[in-house]
This record gives sequence, C-alpha cells and structure tokens, in this order.
Amino acid sequence: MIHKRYTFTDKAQADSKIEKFFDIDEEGNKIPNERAAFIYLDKFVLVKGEYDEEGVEIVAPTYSEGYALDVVWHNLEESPYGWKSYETEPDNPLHKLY
Amino acid sequence: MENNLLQKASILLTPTAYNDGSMLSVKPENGDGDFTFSRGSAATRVNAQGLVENVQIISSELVSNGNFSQGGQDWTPNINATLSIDNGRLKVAVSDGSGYPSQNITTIVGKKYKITADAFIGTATKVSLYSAAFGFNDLTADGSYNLTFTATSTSTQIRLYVYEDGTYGFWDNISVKEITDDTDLPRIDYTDGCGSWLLEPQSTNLITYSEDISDSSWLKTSSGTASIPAITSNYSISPDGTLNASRVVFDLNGGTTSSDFSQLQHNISSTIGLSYTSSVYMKSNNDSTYNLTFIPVSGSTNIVEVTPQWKRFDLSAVLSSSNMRIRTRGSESSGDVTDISIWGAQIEQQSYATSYIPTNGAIATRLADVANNSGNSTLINSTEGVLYVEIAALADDGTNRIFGLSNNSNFSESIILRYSSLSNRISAQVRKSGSYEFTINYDSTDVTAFSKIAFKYKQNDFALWVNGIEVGVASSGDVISGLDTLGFSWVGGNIFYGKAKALAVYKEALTDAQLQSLTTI
Repeated sequence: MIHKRYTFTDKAQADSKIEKFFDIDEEGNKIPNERAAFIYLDKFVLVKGEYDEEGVEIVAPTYSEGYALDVVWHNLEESPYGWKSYETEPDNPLHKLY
Repeated sequence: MENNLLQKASILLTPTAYNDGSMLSVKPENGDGDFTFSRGSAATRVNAQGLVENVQIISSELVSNGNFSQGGQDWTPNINATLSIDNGRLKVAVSDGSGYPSQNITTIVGKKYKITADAFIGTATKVSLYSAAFGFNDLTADGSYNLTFTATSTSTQIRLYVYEDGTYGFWDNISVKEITDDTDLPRIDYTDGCGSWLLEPQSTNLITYSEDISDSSWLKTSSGTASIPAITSNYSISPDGTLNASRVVFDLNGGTTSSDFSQLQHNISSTIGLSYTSSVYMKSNNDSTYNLTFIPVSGSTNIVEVTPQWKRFDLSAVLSSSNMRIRTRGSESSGDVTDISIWGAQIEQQSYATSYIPTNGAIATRLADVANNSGNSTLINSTEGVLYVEIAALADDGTNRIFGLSNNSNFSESIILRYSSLSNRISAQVRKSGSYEFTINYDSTDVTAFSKIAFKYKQNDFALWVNGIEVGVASSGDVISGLDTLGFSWVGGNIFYGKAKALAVYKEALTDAQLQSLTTI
C-alpha cells in the first residue's frame, strides 16, 4: 500500500485520471478495477484569511495552487502509468491518513 | 428458539472476535466463514465502556486503580513519598529530593504500549513520568502525557515522580494499554449500548485541530459587550477518557442584543453546494444547562442545549459558508456566562456524521471499511436457503447499499439485500445473468434503527421477512447456481455501509414459523 500526493490543474483533470480506474456495469454502478482510495483535497489554506466578528471574510486566505488529490493505492508499489509526473511532495502535506 | 435457529446456520457472524485483516465467524470454526477485512488506516469506535477509542488500542486497562478511586491502593511509595487522596487525585508529598509511587504492570517484550497520565504541579518544581522503557518525561506545569513505548521486560515499572523537598504534586488517570500499528482492524462499536460491527465509508475531518481549541485555527471573536471566548486547554476529561477537553467560557457581560456575541469559528477549504456534516462533543462544566448557538456550514443558526453530560452534536447541511461556529449571543436564548467543555470537532463531506477522526495539525482521512469473501460452496446452498441479518443503516441518505450472496463476487449472479436509494426502503432481489428475476420492496419507518431481516430463496418460492412479519413474496423466479461467497463490499459503488449485530446463512429454506421466530425483535 502506498500513499501519494498528486497536483492537477483542476478537478476535471483529476476526475479524468481517476475515471480510468472504474468500469460501469449494466446498472450504472461504478466498479473499481484497481483497489484505491481517492481523497479529494482541492486547495489548502497557506495564509489564513481575516474575518470580522460575524465570521465574514475581510481578507481572503491564500490557497495552494492546483488541485490536490491524495491516493492510497492498496496493491501498487509505485504510481500507475500516467500519474508519476503529477506526484508532488510538499514539505508539509497538511493531510494525513488517520 | 432464535438461539437454536442461529445454531442451525452454516455461517454465523456476530460481533465477537476479529484479527487484523479478518472478522471471525462464530460458525464454522475452521475459518471458512471468516470475512477478509481491510481499511488501511486507523479508526475510532465507542468501546464497551462508552469511551471514544482508537481501534488500534487492543488491550484492556493494565494499570490497577489508575484513577485512584480506591485511594493509594496498588501504588507503592518510595521512602521519600507520602501518598494521600486530594479531590480525587493522588497527592504525592516529598520529604527529600524527589519521591514517587510506582506500580509494576505485566507487559510483553517487543509489544507496543500507550501510556497516558495527568499531572498537576502543585507546589513541586517539576513532575516526571518514568519507566526504564521510556526514561524520564518532565513537566514543570500542569499537563497530560500521551506516550508510546515498546516493552523491554515482562514487568514494566511505572513511576510518578514529584520533585524537591517539602513540596507536593498530584497525579490522576494513569493508563497503560497495548497498542498496534495494524491498519486493517475491524470495529465492534457500542454507540447504541450493544456491540455491532461498524462499516463506514471513507471520510476526511477537515478541521486541523479537532481537540486543541486554543490553536489559532480556531478564531475567537466577540462583539458589543461580550468577551472573546476564554479557553483553558486540558481542563476536563473528554469522551476518550483523558484530560484533554478544552474549557470554553463565553461571557456576554450583560449584553442582550444581536450585537452582543462571543464566538468560536473554524474555517475549512470546501466546495459550495456539497453536503457537509459538522459535529462536536460538548458538555456543561457545572450543573447548569446552557443554550448556545451551533452554526454548521450552511450558516443557519441552531440553538442546542448543552447539559452536564457529554453529547455529540451534529448538523448536516449543504455548504454555503466555509466555516463552523459555536457562540452565545444576546438575541439567541443564551445565558450571560456559558461555561462548557468542547472536544472532538469534525467537519466532513458527508450527509451524516461518521465516527470521530482526531486531528492535530493536519486534516486526516479514515479509509473505507471493506469486508468480503466469507463462505464457500459447501457453506452456501445454491438451490435453497436463507440470508439473515440484524442490521441498521448509518443514514437514510439516498444511496444504494448492497450485500449478500454471489457467485464469486459477481453482481450479475447474486442474491442480495439492499438499502435502496428510495427513502427507508429495504429490497430483496435475485440477479441472474445481469437481470433481476424479481424485487421485493419493503418501506421501513426508519432504516437507521436495527431490523431483523431474512430473505428466503428457493425456486419459485422467495420471501422477505422483517421484524417478525412476512412483508413480501415472489412466487416465480430462478435461483442462482454456483453461490459461494458472502460479502458486504463487492458491488462497486454500492458498498454496504452500516451496522451489523448478526449475519447468518442457512442451507435450507426455513419454515414460516422459523422465519417469524428468527426475525421477531
């Protein structure tokens, strides 16, 4: 089992990569063809925003770039073909498996 | 009669025993009925004592009288220490240099253990938790220990040091339990007071500090006459049984208008339009009951009643504002001063609250529970039989959750029970060559309550029984050849998530009297 971080341009690109790991049965069910857990993370807050007393944003937070996706590949020892170039290894991953 | 009937089953699974990677069946005893289980992460459950617990804790309590409810019993003072009980805590008075009480616990060399303890400095210059297995761990102020160590002896001595002549310090809640790094541990959960297998989907707690409310990720604000919420870390015993809940005091200072409020807020990175559930444990710190406002990610205000007993409050909503807020406000039924403890906050992209996922500096994910591959063609009869379960759904959430018997986990050749995507619907179906032979539907009043369900299958003789009543039949239809597998998690995106107190497979079609008896609550 390996746990990897990938950064894509946007969610659509992430979804298109993930799509290949599912088949659709006759009832419309998505059947995984690879044992994997896809964890949609999107952006992380790098610099906190500022908010007024009501919790309304005054200064927007600064977010990480791209669309972050963590994947746990249960039966692989390295990223599958076509995923390696999207791997990223942030100093502080800001997300972990419990 | 029900127990006798359960003994007739060829496969019987109850929440009794498990290993890393398997849920062990009661019948048969040779392992052929065991489920393979995987998750790949830790997870919490509510244990038999009602405490929220990481399932990687695998032993019972190894310390005797760790909460000093029996005075100083089981603790041996060294020559410099005098022991007494003060306000429920062990008071250690020191006469020369340093003093300590100790206790020897039985350990297994090479096994990992978790030790937790609460220390109060009193008049001492420092306190220290010591064992030869992990050395000295000093504190110079009140605090809690949460350490792991690997046993180096079959007897590990724990010492509770207090330092300097003529001083005293206090200790409380000393606990040692064996732990493991295993990540495929099934969970027997006691949230309902009675044990059941807990099978949950993957979920991520988007709050970065779920227990440390003093962290700056929790915004503390006020308006009008109100004060900023005052936080005291490690103030009270939390639902996990340790001293790590935060005290939060909201003070309106006499303010009674909408302009007067004292507020905690946690922002998350999230997507507008999706369903999120916010949850948090809260209790009053005294005998009073408080009304305060709990605002989930929808931004809607909800007045909740916080009593002296811990309660997990949860609210599900479609996200429109990326934060969770807890506050008192002059115009929202709040008292002037609200003194509560808070612990275990969670925001997850789910339409219902799942088990607690602790965080400490980063968001964290619990992976999905997967339980499959029980049985074989000897234990499962293809021509007739009964699939029996006592189960509850985690929510009436509009999804299909399917489990049952199949030919080599092939959904196209299967006998299934499902919680339907239609509200509170339970369905029994036979699929052959990818088509449904028939569907028997039953609309329950509440699928989140436990139901006893039996699906009888036999050529042109099918019936669905729920809670002692035959709720539907199908008098025509084929059975499936080659049935050899029982599983919870084999139908792609329609995996069964829920709670199960019992699951049984019979190799014969039981009589109506037997089915009634088996399913009567």
